[in-house]
Amino acid sequence: MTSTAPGLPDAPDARPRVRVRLGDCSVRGRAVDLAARSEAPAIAPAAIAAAVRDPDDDRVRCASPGPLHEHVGLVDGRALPRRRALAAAARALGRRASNRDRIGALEDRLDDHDPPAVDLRAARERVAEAGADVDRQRERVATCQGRVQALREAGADTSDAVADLEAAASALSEAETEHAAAEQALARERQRAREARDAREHRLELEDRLANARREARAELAARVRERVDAALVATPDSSATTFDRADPVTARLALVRVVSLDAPVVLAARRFPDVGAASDWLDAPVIRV
Amino acid sequence: MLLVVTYSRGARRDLRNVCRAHEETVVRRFGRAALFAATDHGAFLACRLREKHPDDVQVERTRPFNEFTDTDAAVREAAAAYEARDEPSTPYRRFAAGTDHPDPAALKARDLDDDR
Repeated sequence: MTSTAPGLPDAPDARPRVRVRLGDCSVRGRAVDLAARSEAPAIAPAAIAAAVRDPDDDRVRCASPGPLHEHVGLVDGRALPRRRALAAAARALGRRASNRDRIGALEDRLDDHDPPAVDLRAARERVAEAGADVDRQRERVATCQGRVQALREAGADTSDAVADLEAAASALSEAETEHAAAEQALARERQRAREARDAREHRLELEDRLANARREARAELAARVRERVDAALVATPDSSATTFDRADPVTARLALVRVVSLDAPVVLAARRFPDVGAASDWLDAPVIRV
Repeated sequence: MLLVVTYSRGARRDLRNVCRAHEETVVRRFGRAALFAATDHGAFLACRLREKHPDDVQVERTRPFNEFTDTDAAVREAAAAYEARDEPSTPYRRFAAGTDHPDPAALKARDLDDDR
């Protein structure tokens, strides 16, 4: 955190500031109160928070937000994943988990893992089409046979019908060959898929191990800042909560911001402070109130 | 029935959700696999999973195994005799040697064909 001590007369304020531009309304400062600006067009709090996080969004210019901002950048009543948020706060305070080398090694191994594709759809479809073709050709042969038979019984000339039958028999034989080839190709693909699935199974194991390691890291990091956050929580205005896990989402977010002192602005949708300046001072962060 | 096996976290999560939402069609759930009923609905659910995760969902069609119709008596008898062996540490290969029981290579060489 780069803030200078507040209250020193004439000290240049080097603390991070914000510029918000909405339509014709442009406001700069450490604490921006859009709600007090009648000329500012209405904008959803979530949209302003998204603009804070989007470096290409010209509506808000500010310091770039870190990972914690996703959890606390918009102070409102949405559910908060407590342990993730605590872990992000710990990281923002420079804490690192003791298993970070293991996590890095697992990430590297996963990056190197590129299991081959196993989509057998084309091979399955070829078998189905070839099988349907065999059925069609078989029916055609039966029809031709019937016609030859009928002509013979009638004592008529069968030469055309016999030629048709021969053509049908030949087409059936071709269809059967294609069907057998398609079955073989599918069998080969299935064999190949077995090996590729071994690789995918291994990747899944690695992913599970990585997820477990990250969970452990979050638990460890969360435990290391919980006390500080609880202390901030007790001092949060309009709150009777005493523990982070039981605090309402607004109180929990405010306590996290106070502990970490963000450079990027937080968007306040809730009213807990007499004015936006008081909010910014208490949080020690730039604030946009909507 | 349809045996659905998943090979990625995303596919496993979706399988879990499908199982939770369609208990009537899900005959049994395992960790990252499940058995679906052999109905159009089971096929529909399996196709959906495969559509979403073409490389990470395996679907096999299974059917009940009847050892009295699907395989020879020699196989059943060998299994029964081997499970009743006196010496638990005897490997099957040695157990079968010099008897009428099929050796492992013969067992492996023969498929269960459809119309046996």
